[in-house]
Amino acid sequence: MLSLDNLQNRRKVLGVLVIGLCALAPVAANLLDEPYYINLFARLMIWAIAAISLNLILGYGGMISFGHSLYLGIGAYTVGIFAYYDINNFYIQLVAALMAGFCVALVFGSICLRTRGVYFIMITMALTQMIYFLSISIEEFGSDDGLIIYVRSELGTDLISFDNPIHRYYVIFLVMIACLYFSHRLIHSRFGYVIRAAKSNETRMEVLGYPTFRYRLACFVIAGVMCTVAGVLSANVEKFVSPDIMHWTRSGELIFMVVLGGMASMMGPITGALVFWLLSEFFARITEHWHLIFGPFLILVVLLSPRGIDGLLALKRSAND
Amino acid sequence: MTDVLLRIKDLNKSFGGVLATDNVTLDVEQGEIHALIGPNGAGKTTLISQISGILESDSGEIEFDGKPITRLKAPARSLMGIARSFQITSILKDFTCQENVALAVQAHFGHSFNIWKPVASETNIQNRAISVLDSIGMSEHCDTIAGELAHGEQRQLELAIALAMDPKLLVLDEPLAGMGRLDSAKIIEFLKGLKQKFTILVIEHDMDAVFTLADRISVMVYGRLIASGSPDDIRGDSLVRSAYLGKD
Amino acid sequence: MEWALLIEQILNGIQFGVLLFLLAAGLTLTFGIMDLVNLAHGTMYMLGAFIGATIFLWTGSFILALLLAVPIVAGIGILTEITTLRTLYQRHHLDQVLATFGLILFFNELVQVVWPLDGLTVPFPKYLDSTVPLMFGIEYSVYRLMIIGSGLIVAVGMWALVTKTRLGMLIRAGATDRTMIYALGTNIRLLFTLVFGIGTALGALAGVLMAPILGANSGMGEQIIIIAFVVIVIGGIGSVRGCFIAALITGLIDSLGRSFLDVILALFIPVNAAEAAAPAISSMLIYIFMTLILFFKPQGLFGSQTQ
Repeated sequence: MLSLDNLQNRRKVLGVLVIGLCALAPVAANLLDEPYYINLFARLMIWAIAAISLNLILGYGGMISFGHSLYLGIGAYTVGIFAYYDINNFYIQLVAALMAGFCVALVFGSICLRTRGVYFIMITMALTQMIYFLSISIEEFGSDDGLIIYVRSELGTDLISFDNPIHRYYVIFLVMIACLYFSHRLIHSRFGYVIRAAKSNETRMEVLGYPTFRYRLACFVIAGVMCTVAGVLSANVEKFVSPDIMHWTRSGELIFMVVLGGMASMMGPITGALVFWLLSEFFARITEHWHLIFGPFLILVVLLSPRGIDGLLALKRSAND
Repeated sequence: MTDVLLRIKDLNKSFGGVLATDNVTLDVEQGEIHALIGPNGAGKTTLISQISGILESDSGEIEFDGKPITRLKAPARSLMGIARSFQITSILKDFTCQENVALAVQAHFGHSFNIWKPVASETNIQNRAISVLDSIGMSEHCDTIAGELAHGEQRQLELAIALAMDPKLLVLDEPLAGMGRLDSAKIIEFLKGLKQKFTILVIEHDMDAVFTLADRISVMVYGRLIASGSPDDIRGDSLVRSAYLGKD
Repeated sequence: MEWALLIEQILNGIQFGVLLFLLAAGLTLTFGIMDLVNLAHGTMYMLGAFIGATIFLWTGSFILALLLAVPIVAGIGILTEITTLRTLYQRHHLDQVLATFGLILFFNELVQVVWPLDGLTVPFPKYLDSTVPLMFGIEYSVYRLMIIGSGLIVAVGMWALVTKTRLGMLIRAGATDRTMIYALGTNIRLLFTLVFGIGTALGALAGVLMAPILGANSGMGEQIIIIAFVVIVIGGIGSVRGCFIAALITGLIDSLGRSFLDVILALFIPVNAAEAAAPAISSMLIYIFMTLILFFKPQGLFGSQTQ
């Protein structure tokens, strides 16, 4: 029998619950006759993928990137622009998006990672805002009105199609699980240890013989590319992309999801995204102006439980001991 | 001519106009234990930060194992075989002892861009880490979180991390700092055992330890190296006596 | 090239730069002294615009709007400092960033509740709603000249504050070595609250001044705060002088880039291409400039090495 006195077990139970919920959401939605929930949950999992990627640099690597939404934008705009030119093949779009995300993350990462602390926060923010304004200034792709995507990405098979909400949902679900597994492998690898240790004590790592800049940059790029995938999926759910997807407040929301779930915890980003969404739904029922409650709530979370939900799990253990 | 492992020539470093190291010239010979002593604020830690590459020197040259390293950064120097420990314990407190040591081993076992294979399954790294911990008498602490160790044990772990890098030169910044008498004696014995295997440059305030261990001693005062020689020479040096030992 | 247009755009650039200075000065002070990254600084600018505009529309007196709105917003700022931000000074930057992000969400929504319409449009005060002739036959807005003037007065005031007063000494000490402030043994809480109040007042002043030009909208703070960040990153965090110079450079680059980049580009590439590329590139100019500065001086133009 699984004992809940053990933190690891409690984490496992939470993980199973959250993933189970995601896996069964379409079934529940059909039973409740609320197909609208399928897309809501799909959107939520896209956030979760973005948050998982952000957790790699923010949670494990200690890099407070306030510009992570940029990569959502890159992914979504790549699909949008290719669709605009009638190239609808998913694999072409995906490879192009990954390459774009890779190049941008490499260039921006090399600029940002030269700096530390508050400079890093501001520069990641500023560079993302730069691309935001760039997207606004290009009239060909809809400026701030955004770009409507008339045809979803074509997977080149009759078996699954992004136009079928259930298919779409489970593709996103599988991508989320894959990202989760990938980040699990990553943080337990040599590379993961270097990234985590560099967060904790950079000078020590330099003296041990690790050129930390290169490792951080590699991690920054991996996270960027992973988030680009979320952007590609997002374009296929919304059939629309606008500059808003990469506004810096969106990056703020992603950070909050990671912190809410618990930084540097495996399930943190997904639980964070889930709770973020549940709360916004809940507050929105109380008042149309739900940010009036959400803002102070966010502040309270930061002040009272900076380690998020994962931290609460750990807290309960010490109360029991 | 004896083999010189580390050669320092006219090394300078100033902080806001204050000279922390002032034209320091010093040789560390292959196989010796070289002690660096001097009052607090003499620039000893600055000097070894310049050696390990954490601080860039304003001027002067450093040669290691026959190659100039003045322009190399800390990671490159570490890979050449300079391992340093810190005066203020600088272990990774959230990691277990074995993980701490394994990270040091891993740095010298090829690159670490592998993002897929779990470190825990890399037996060569883990075995080496365990054997280093064992050699310093900490094998029962492999799975202890480093931050939960007692102070003396943390100092020991600090030393283990440096050893795990399999260095040619060990640069130790006050390995006995804050240790009790018993722990100190243990570490002194241990360092004695290293004598044949490594070249060691050590900063230490514990004079008993210094005079038991060191083959040669250099004395720093106000950023300058005022004397360098065998323990007997240093004991007899009047300049050193008045500047430093004379205090007693 | 038309000299008249050039000079007009230079003046616009200076005006934008002055505005950026008002905003960035507050940010750089709170960061330099309290080690606080305050995303909600732009919110105070927004509140300044709304409250100033409302008072102006009610009473018809712009002077009264300035005199009332700035202290009111400073008061709101101090209130948030006491209730929320104060507990964050010793916390990790991430906590500060998130909590102040929460403040932004709250105040943006609050503004929409209090002023439910889609923002406010504000007329120019009558006595300033005219133009003056300058050289080359330029007619330039008196109101914009007034903004430049008040910005310069504030800059001189800040210079005097930083170099001539005891508060300024603490500010300078804090910007080079933050632990110094704690060592100096003043009433730190009061000092911090005071500095925060000053910073907020400057931001609010910028808001009141800009309301007739840009109007007042929920969310106007977020657009400008990033540019203010760019300014303090270029200038070097904690340095008021660097902040002033960087603000003017940034204002000029932005304004001149938007007007003349197509002309400049056309010297190198075909006119069609230049006209197509210019708007996109000019919107990125200040960020590119920031990147270049950081490449050569990672601490900004006047940043101290210790931070």
